[in-house]
Amino acid sequence: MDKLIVGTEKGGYLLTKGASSWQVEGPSFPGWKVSAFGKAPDGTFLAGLGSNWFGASVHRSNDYRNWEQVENGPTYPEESGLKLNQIWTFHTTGDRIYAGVDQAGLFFSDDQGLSWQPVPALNEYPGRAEWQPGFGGLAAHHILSAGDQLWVGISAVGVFRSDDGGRSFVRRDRGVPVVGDPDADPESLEPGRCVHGLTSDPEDPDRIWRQDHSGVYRSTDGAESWERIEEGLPAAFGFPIGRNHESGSLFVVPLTADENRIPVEGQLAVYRSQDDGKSWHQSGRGWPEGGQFNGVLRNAMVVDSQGGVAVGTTGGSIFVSNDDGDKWDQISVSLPRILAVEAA
Amino acid sequence: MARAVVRLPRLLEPAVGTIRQVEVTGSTMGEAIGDLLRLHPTLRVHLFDEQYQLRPHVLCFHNGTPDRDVANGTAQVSDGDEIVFLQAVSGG
Repeated sequence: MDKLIVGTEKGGYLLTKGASSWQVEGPSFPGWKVSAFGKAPDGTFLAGLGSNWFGASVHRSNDYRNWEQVENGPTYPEESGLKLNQIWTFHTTGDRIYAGVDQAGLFFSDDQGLSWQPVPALNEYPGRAEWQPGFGGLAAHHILSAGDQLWVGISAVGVFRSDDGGRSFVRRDRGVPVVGDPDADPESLEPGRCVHGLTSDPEDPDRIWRQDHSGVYRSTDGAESWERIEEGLPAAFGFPIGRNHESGSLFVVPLTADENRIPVEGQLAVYRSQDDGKSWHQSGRGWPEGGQFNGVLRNAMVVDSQGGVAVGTTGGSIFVSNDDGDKWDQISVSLPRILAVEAA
Repeated sequence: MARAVVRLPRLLEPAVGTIRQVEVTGSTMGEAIGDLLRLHPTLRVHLFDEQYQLRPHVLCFHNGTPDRDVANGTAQVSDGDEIVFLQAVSGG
């Protein structure tokens, strides 16, 4: 992993590994929240922007340097009463791109990201008036797919699954507690589950791993049910979860607790599981010895299938491994608060 | 039809590139802004929400006077008028 595109609270940055150091280019989109990156089926790069003043938009590029805003980006119908505040994620499957957004909803593009249409089955889901936002907003932030199946993670609501290409959705959260309501039945399907991150096994898409507000979970039945998998973690709270689909290694970044979102005792580290989540251990060496009090947000981790893993912190630091998490190097850069990290 | 000038903040560069000033035509604010969005449709999502209301942290001044009834505004526009969009100091 020798080239990264990084989205921050104040612009996007392109990092390229050189012989002895990383070259930093940017910011692109100065002053804007760059919250998501993606790739269209034809290879065109996508960026999702948000703003403290102006509305959210989708931009396209062929080189990560020169960007053009699409005219017909995702937007809610006027009569819906919904507002599109931020692009949270892109997911490409076949000839289609999905975008997950805040306020929680799903849009798709079949023309390389030039124009976008809503997915009514999710955007008009019955009972959505009861959905409540998490601290980061009411956001559809993770999308998984396998054939006609889709899984969408929404904070602070739960995981939705479609078995018919997005024409209908059902909630799939059995076994995961409702945040802030310890008396709620974990087998029920009331909203209030706060999924933070999702990843699945492309060879067996019913195997899904989940970093939730309430802990780390695994499903082996396509999200029908979930079991906790936290052995060896110093804390169960965290945001991102990623998987190397070649080696099967899983990666999370534990933070002390929901009310104290910093590394445990100042020891920032990625944790890795090499047994499908049964047990976790600190991932390799190269982490600073204490003194680290910034976390990693849900889209600020990227894992590829060649052993590359990178995380960006809320303090603007970036750590990279190119051997599946055995050894980590910190890039010498201090960026604004990091929202998104992708391999470029 | 009057000809007015719209000035845009630098922060909108991702939408319109280096353009900071746009000449528009219209007899009312609504018509002038409609002409602006016809010339630069990427601005609509940034200046206005889904209900075509000026976004809460976006300011518009018509000849130096704050005006929030912009999109369908009936205020008269005359030759040489200046319409300025700014981001509010709130917002980060």
